[in-house]
Amino acid sequence: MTYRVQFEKELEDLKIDLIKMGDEVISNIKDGLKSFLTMDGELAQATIKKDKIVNDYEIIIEKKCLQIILKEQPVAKDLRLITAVLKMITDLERIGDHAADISKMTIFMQENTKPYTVKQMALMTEASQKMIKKALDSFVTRNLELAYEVINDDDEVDEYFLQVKKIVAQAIRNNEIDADYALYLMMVAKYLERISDHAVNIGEWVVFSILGEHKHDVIF
Amino acid sequence: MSKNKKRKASDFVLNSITYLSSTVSLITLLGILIFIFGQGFKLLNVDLLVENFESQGYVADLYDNVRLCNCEPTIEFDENTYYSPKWGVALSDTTDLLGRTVVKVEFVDKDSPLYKVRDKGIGNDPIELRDEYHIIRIAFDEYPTALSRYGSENMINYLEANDSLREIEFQTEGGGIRGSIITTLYLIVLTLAFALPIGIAAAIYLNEYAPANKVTKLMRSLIETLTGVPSIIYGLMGLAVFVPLTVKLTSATGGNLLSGAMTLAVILLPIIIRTTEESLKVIPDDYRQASLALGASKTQTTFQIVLPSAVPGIMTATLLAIGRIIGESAALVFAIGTAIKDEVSLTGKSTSLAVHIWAMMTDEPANIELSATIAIIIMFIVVILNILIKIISGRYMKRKMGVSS
Amino acid sequence: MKQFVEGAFSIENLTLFYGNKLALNDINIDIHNKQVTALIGPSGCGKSTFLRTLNRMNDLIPNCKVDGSIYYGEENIYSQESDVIDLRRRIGMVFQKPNPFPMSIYENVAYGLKCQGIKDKNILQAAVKKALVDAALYEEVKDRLKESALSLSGGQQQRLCIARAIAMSPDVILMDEPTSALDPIATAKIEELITELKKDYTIIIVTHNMQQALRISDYTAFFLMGEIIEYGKTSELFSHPKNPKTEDYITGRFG
Repeated sequence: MTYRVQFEKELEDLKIDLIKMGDEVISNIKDGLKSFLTMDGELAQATIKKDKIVNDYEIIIEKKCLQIILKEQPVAKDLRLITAVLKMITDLERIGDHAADISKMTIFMQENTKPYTVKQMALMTEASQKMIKKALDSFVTRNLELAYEVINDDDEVDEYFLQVKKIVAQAIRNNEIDADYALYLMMVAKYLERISDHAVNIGEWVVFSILGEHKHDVIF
Repeated sequence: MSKNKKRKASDFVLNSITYLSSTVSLITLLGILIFIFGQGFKLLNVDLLVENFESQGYVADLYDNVRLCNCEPTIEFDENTYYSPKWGVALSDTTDLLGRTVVKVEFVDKDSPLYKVRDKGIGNDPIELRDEYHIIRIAFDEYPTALSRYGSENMINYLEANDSLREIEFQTEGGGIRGSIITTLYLIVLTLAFALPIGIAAAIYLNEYAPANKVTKLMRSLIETLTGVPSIIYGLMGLAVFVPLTVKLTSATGGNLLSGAMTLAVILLPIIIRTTEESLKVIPDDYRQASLALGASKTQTTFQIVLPSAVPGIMTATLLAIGRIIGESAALVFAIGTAIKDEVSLTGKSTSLAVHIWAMMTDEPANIELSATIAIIIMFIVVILNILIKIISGRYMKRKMGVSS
Repeated sequence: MKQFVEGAFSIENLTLFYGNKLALNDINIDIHNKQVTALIGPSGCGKSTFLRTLNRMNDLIPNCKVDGSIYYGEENIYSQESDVIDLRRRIGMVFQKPNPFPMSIYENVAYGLKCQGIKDKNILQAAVKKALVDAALYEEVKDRLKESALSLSGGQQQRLCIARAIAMSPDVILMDEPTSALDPIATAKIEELITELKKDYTIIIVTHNMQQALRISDYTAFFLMGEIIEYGKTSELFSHPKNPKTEDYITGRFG
């Protein structure tokens, strides 16, 4: 039971908006990578455009957070929650940017490049998408275990990145890969690795929202 | 629409009732005022206020060696004044302070045989017939006595017709209410001196100290009941308790000013207690708490914070009390008596203005004009005291509390 | 062995009944010297009652029964030997509604000292001035000390009440929602003043305003149904309340 029905509702709305933003971001990563792997310029363009939705979400959520702080003067867990949201949307927005960056790679190489399939790329994408989803889930359900899982999952993505690097290096040595393509591929892989880092950040803010500590330092 | 009309109609009726009622009461009060002033204003003068009530009567005759004066009047008289050249006196018809027709001395010549006459009563000093004195009768040796009721013209004619007179009876003016005014003022001061300290102290006890229990409740309702007891009952109590008490303790021999004041004080106690308690009740508890929290004792709090704050209320109580003192008559009839006295003493009989009215009205015939005049004076005193108390309490509030009221 | 500090309270097993109603139940806390302690909790939770036990204002309420002990310094203020008048001189109190006496500003501040029997005009004047200066009111009223205290604004009146309390040079000032009747600016001034005063006085303040408790207090005690649910450093209590009830209350989800 609560005496602050409006406040509760606002916090729920905030969580829903965050989930929606997360969904947008995840689908952008998926589409970005798909456009890259299939050399689909149109899809890449559409994905770049869609990044604006993510950016809009960031602004909307920021506004809502500030309004809640102003009106409800939250303390304790409420204050942590809103602070965490404010920090998390920055990471989500960065992830969105990376999805757009991946799409831009597609547009750059479109002409006279020969695709080279590395299956780890798909795995990597899947893993980082999962991390984002998990991080957001852990936030909504206040699940500390899940948040720590996200932080640990980063190793898996890093591992994939090393594998991709190795495979691409081997392909270059064997002259199996177009040089431009190899560079673009590595950049996309790096973006994916960065995305998973941002997912870790989100996980860390989830931990903060529950415990008040960030990277093992109690800050609130 | 019809609902609106209905409301308007009922509003109109209710408003009309209030307007009508206030008009009626205003007219009634105005009527009383007009009656009192109409009846009493013509008798209102300074003489009435400062003169004795008792007129001093003298019976005198002529000294043996006096001669008639046959002097001309040195001043002009109006047509209603009659002058006797033979005796050198001028007389006129007038009404005295009590409204009775009397023969008044307008002028006595220095050479008049009546200027100095021999007192037939005790004492050998010559008495002087003065202006403003009232002549009651002049008796002659061979003539019928000239009485004041036959008028001044008749008296002058008789004087002119005689060369000597056997005796003359005259009296000082009299009829003044000085004594009653003084008694009333004494009563106010004494009664307040008795009732205020006791009443205020009792109120303080009831409001500040008394535990909230049945006994206190009973005390309060008893006090409330006492307000409704007719004052004549208090008068009986005064007669039964205070008169014997004062007779025993002082030189008094019967009802006296002290016993009257005590009786009035008892009448006033419930009023003063209630009014003071009401004013103590409305003093915010915050003041008491603040004072106590500063380490003031309960007594300090009561007397330095609570009581001063209650001064306006106590002043109201005092005003009510004064009104009651001035207005009270029934109780005083027993406790102090109805004797109108000029010499007022604490242990002697005397009468307040209200009882003075009562005495005037029980006279035969009732003297309505004088009663109305006294009523005017009473109202005047009340107004003056009201203003005085307002000023005093205003000053007090400003000085003590720093509040300009 | 307990350590006794002048200006600090040590409350042990304090239980208070109004008639048959249990108002405070087994309170055990130490209040720190020269710190601001905020008492929070819903209405009727006993925080004001607790505040009033500290200078024994509850003595005024009939049928009020106190068990347990409150050590002020070394003295158990509920023991037989303790003198309540003397106690209240050492522990000042400021109330919810500004309640200056209907007297002049000067008289208001001098009243407590006069009740103590101080008659020397010079001493009184110096004390009044110092108290007004300390209460950050002197500059505003120095030209009208003889005017009625009731002519002051609400915030000034409340600061006058604080001046009145500190004129007694107490060790402790108890404040019962001192700003609840004031506008935000007057409130801010009082809060500023409290932060200033805590250098010299132990301050215990009852407040309904969480943010106020956060801003000015060093320690906070959360009362609920006559019990202390949680007591600790304010920063701790408002970020990581240990008891879910405290969390529910401070985040407004009480029930």
